[in-house]
Amino acid sequence: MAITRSKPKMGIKERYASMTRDLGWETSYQPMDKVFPYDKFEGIKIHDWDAWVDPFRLTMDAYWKYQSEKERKLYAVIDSFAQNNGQMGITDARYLNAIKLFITGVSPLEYAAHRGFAFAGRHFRGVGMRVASQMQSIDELRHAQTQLHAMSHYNKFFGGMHSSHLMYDRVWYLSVPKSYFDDAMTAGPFEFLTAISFSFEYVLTNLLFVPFMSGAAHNGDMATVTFGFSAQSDESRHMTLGIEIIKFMLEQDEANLPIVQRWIDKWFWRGYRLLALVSMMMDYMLPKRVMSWREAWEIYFEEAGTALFEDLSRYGLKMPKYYEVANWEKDHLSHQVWSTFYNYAGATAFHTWMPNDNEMEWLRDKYPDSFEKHYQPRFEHFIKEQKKGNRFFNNTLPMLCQTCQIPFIFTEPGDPTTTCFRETHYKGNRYNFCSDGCKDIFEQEPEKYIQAWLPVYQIYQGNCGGKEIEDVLRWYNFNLGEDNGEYLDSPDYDLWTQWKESQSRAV
Amino acid sequence: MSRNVSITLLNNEDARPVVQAIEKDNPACIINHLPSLVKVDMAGALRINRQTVEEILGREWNVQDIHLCLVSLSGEVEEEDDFFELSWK
Amino acid sequence: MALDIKTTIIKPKRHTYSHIAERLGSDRPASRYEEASFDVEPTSNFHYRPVWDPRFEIYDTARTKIQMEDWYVLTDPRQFYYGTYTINRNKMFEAAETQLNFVETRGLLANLTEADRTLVQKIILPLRHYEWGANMNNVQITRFGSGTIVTQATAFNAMDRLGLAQLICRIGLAFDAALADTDSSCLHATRAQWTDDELWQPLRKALEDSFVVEDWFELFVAQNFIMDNFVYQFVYTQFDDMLIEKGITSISLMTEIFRKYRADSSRWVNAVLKRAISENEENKKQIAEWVADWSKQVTPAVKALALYIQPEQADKAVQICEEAVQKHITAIGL
Repeated sequence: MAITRSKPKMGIKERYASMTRDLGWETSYQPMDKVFPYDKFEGIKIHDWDAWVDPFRLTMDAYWKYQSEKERKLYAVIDSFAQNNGQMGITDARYLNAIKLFITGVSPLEYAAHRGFAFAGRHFRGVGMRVASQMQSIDELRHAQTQLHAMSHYNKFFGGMHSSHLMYDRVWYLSVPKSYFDDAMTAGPFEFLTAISFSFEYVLTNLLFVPFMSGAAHNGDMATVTFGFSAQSDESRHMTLGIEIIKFMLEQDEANLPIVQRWIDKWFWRGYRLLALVSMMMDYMLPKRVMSWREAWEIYFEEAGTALFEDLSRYGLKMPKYYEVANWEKDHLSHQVWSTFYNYAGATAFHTWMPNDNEMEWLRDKYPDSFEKHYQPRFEHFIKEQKKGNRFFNNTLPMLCQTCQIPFIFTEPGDPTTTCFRETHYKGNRYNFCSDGCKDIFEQEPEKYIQAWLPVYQIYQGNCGGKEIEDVLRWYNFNLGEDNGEYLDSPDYDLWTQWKESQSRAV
Repeated sequence: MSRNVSITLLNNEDARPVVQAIEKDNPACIINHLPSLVKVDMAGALRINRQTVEEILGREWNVQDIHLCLVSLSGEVEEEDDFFELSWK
Repeated sequence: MALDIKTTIIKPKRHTYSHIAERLGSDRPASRYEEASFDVEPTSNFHYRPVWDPRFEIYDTARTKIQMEDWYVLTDPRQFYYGTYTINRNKMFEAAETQLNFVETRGLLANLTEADRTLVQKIILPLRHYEWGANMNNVQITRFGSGTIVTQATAFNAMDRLGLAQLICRIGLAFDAALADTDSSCLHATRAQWTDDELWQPLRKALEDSFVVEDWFELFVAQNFIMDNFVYQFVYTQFDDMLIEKGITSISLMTEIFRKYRADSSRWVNAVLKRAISENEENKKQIAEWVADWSKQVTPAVKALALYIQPEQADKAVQICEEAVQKHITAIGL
């Protein structure tokens, strides 16, 4: 047989298929349904798994090549940040409270995504989807680990970051992100991808990452900017997986449409409620603002989201249910959340404060229809009391929404003076909700949501370290008086003031 | 009018020849230079040709090298040996 | 003055995260491996049980019979976290690519007789499916295992196996490229060999049986310790030695990475097992049982390959293989 090297190379598509899809086979010593027991029960019908096409055809050698180069660059910045005391280059120590929220509330989600995508990466019977999920799985591990490394330096000087993973398991407001991701991880693999890849990564991610990363850039936080951009380059692959999975399900069988629509409705609302924490970060926690929550919502959801759903309407998909409520809330969300956290500053692992005059002006400017009328008077009252030495701390425990686990702080759609409150009965018990969206989600799967580990009820039942608030805070591993409380009374503030004074003396 | 597609790249040396190639092959594109990013918008479709990048760069360039500077994109991706294309279908 | 600021005021309050300091016994600077790995997996207060398997919590130590006081003692001697792992594997696979390209561009596959080429294709190429199976099992452990220190290493191992499966594809493509006068692809033919050829059925059966194993630690033993030790020892060491004796070095060049990978991953697999075995008698007994079970299942697979390659030497080859695996079994304390 003649052997030459004249045969033309395979094209990228064919080559990639031979290196991924061709690896799988129909098992026969064990039935396929036993090897892949979880990809049918959700009711999604797939007729041809091979119709799944991954737009990014990265083989592992290419993956390692690009990722290793990105890691080298990233760690070079993290090292030089620490060596040069980069923490002193930020605008103001108040900024770090956004970072505290990030490491306790977002980094653990990256880790959860790592394990969740491992589930998807094992349990779809289609090879292409598994490979894409697996790559995302280790990308997410990357994000969790680079975040721990980047923030490690801040942790050496500031409070609130020293026990992020334990806090994620225990602290009351962190049950908001935790229950969100637990919800996705306990769902089947198709719902998981709809929840995380599509609803979160594709539809809502710009509202999380753009504010945090641009916020970091505006506030001199080099370490976060660098891991943010580095992670974002993985996100473009992840977002693509999100849109592809939706199209794949809808193209495979029209019976999938109502299931997908229900998931999109659910996960839009779940994700939106989670982003309430981001809204206050944007409007209140950044010493130098990037844009307001309202502006971000208009750009990234009202414009981009509407265009996206217009595009998806050819499959019969509609805008997620209650999107109008979210649009209406854009004028109120961040203010309602910030005043709540201001009240509960004694029980949070980050500090809160009242906006200064310039910031009040910015808020009036960005929220002409709501801030001055509804929120400024409340804040002025807080400031007056604080000046008299009566900084307000709410020491009662709030009731929580059974679904999103946020206290009852939101108001009726269209009426910012009336607290929104919904309830339903199931098996003889009453359950309470912050919104119609959360109530609907419960009613679709009551057996799931009655299991929720609601922090406040757990405290009352004595499962959280003791009876007194202080016992609970110690169980959270808070350093009392250091991690929690008013910013102006915090060691963070003292340290920062000291640094700034000695810097100006040096000049 | 057709919808915009867009690609956002890091503003660095890896991206510079790519942006130049985009400009050359997609004359109607709109390029926004931000401090750390370059965002390119284009109505309808945007194409990056390997050959153009290689001409600018003066050496071999693999289409997948785009992953070194890619930050975000909008549009459906078509990746081939010779080009990278974004479009809405 | 700037120097003065550094020494007096910029003094860290703490050197690492609280849980790391607790593990290290004092607050001192921790390694990146330690900060990236310890206690990252949530341990309590889960909100819902998986709808697809409500017997367990989201993370649940009851998913294996193996009991550990602390799963984080099962450290990886390579100290891989994502960054170090990725940089290491890029180097490893770049070197493999260079060797493969060398074989291709120098036309070294042309030196093989048709019989040898067929033999090599038949023994090496279907193993891409074996690697893919190893990937599946390690991804399964990554989801269900206990402790980030264990599951990050299995995640990395899973990606290694996908990379190796793809490398075998590359070898197949190199063979295909070398055959100019035919359109048939030896690479595409491998799936049918894997599913239908008698030669591969014992291994495929063992692998498919492992896919339905519920206990993730058993899966770790079955895949990463027993099946891998047997398959790698037999194919990438003994079969390779045989090819070299015949004067065929091109295959050895292309499969060098498999020996490197195995040496690297064995250090980790053995360290994990050794530590789990030393934890208590029950673990030791259970792991010994799994080792015996899975050895029994995989031996016929090796025997089938040995009979195909050199029928008259088959018993001896299997014996050599078993002895080599036994060394690993002794090394982990069984």
